[in-house]
Amino acid sequence: MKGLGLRQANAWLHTWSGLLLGWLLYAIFATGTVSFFRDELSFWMKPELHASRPDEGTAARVLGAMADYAPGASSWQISLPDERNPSVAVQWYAQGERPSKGGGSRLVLDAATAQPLQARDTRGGDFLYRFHFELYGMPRIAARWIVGVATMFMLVAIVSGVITHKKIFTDFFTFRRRKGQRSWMDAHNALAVLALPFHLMITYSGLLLLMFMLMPWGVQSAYQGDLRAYFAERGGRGAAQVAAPQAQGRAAPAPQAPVGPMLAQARAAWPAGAGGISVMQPGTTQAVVELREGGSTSLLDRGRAQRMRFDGVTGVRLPMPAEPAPDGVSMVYNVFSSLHLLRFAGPWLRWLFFASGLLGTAMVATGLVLWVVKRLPQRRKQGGHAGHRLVECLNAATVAGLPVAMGAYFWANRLLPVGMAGRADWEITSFFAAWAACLAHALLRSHRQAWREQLAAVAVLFAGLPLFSFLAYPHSHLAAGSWLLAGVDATLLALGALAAAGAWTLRTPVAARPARQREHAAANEVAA
Amino acid sequence: MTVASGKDKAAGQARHRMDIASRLVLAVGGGYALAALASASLALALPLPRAQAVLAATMLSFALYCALAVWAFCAASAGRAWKGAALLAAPMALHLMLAGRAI
Repeated sequence: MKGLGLRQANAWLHTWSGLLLGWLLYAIFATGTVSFFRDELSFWMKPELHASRPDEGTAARVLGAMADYAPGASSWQISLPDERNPSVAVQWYAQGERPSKGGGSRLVLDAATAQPLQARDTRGGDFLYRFHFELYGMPRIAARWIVGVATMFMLVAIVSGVITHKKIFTDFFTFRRRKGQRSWMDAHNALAVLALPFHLMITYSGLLLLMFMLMPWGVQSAYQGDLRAYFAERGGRGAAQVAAPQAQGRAAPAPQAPVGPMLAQARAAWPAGAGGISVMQPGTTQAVVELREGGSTSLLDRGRAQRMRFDGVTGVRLPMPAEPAPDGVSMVYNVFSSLHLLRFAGPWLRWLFFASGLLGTAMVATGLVLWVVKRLPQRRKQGGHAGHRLVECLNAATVAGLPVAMGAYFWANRLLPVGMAGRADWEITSFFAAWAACLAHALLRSHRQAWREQLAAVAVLFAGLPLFSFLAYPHSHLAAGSWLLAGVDATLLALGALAAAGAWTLRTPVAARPARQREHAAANEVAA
Repeated sequence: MTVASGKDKAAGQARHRMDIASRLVLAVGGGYALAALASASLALALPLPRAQAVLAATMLSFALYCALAVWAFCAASAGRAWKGAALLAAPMALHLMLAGRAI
């Protein structure tokens, strides 16, 4: 800017691009981070499935049971249990029904008995996952645009933030405790730099996942806007998938080959074995069994889990046309989108990404707080300032209020009657009601009270959930051998403890606090 | 930010606001327009098979958008920022016109 150096101009840009959409970015980061454990969370939120224990015979048992559940179906799709979800999901289509995303009939089965399980009605982790890029209760496209714009602001904030920091490495090792604004600045820097590659990657790949909506002009100029022609030519998104064999007339019933040897072939070929089984024209002379690779491990060919086909009657492996290897540019895209979607990752990498996501969430949060703290002395001189007070309220109601809303969502999942009509919607209503209550609370209380009380609420809500699970669902904890559920509970406990620590540091009355905190509190009173 | 020294402080402040507004329009609107132009032009110009060129051009456009947004606020004056952006846009617009592809 005029009269400003490169660094000051970037500092200005960083501050304002960060603040303007900071609250939305915080919500996107927080819900997106939780989405790394979307499957685990969904499973945790359905206690009726918790007793499911997979074993060697699960696949054969489920296939046997499918003959009772869906005789005469045109196809069965079976998602086998894995480390993220030990239950079995099955889906089937009637003869003549077109396979579609929401169509067909579905059941969830117990892996040990193949008996249907009636899980409570919940959106589980999917609600938070959808929220992180489609928000809620608004047209999907509009919401994606809003999130896309926010993501672009994030990218600008990251780049200008890096330029602002000439001493990025030294700053990283600097932390000045209890120095007010300096401490917040140091924390913000350390959090940002610590996971900088992750922040850049997750932000840029987020843009890439929305790119044909945000930036359709390349397809417009080279393909006259025909996205379908573009995908067909690139050979991605299932264009190379082999068409399912069509039934030729009504096939006669026939005994089926055992699935065990087929699964053994899959185990030999793929590190994780088979993750899913489809059977076309099951139970007939025309039956074809298709195995899909479990947890595709390659970053380069996302969406192209390997497949094998077998003749359902003889068990003989059928030839499949080789899938073309992705080209270099597609590989770049695939690596970015795989890293964002994280379908390939094992538990350790998943935890690392979750931790990085938490750092990113904390980075946005400390940035928002820093904005307030930095302007406090000036605002105090001028007396109350409506804009400043608004930022304070929005900070508390977003940074502390969103976890409160999540806690309310999880508690609603536990406490609402299982047979309640519209149960899943009531869970979501609880989420937004709690969030709205936090905003009202922040407006009514002083800045410090709002933070302290909402953090205390987070601590109570989060720490109470594992306790409730322990008492109400004996299958849920580690004693029953479920690392998966114990992991969710332990994470809730840890986050609850973190919130409690936050509330604890804000407890001291004004008089007993060191000078800078006294200033802080006094300014709050002015603002309130 | 900078406030013009001298007798007419208010005029200086107004000029400063105009300066910021001008840069903001360039960063948000101009940045998008330039990224869109670049993705449309590069999709045709990159020496790659058509589908890959489109993918590469679209992926790169966000980096360009970001770079221009930062440039809009770093340039010595708003006018210079606009001139730089126009210089960048001209060849790409020309290319698209010659290719006969209005976007």
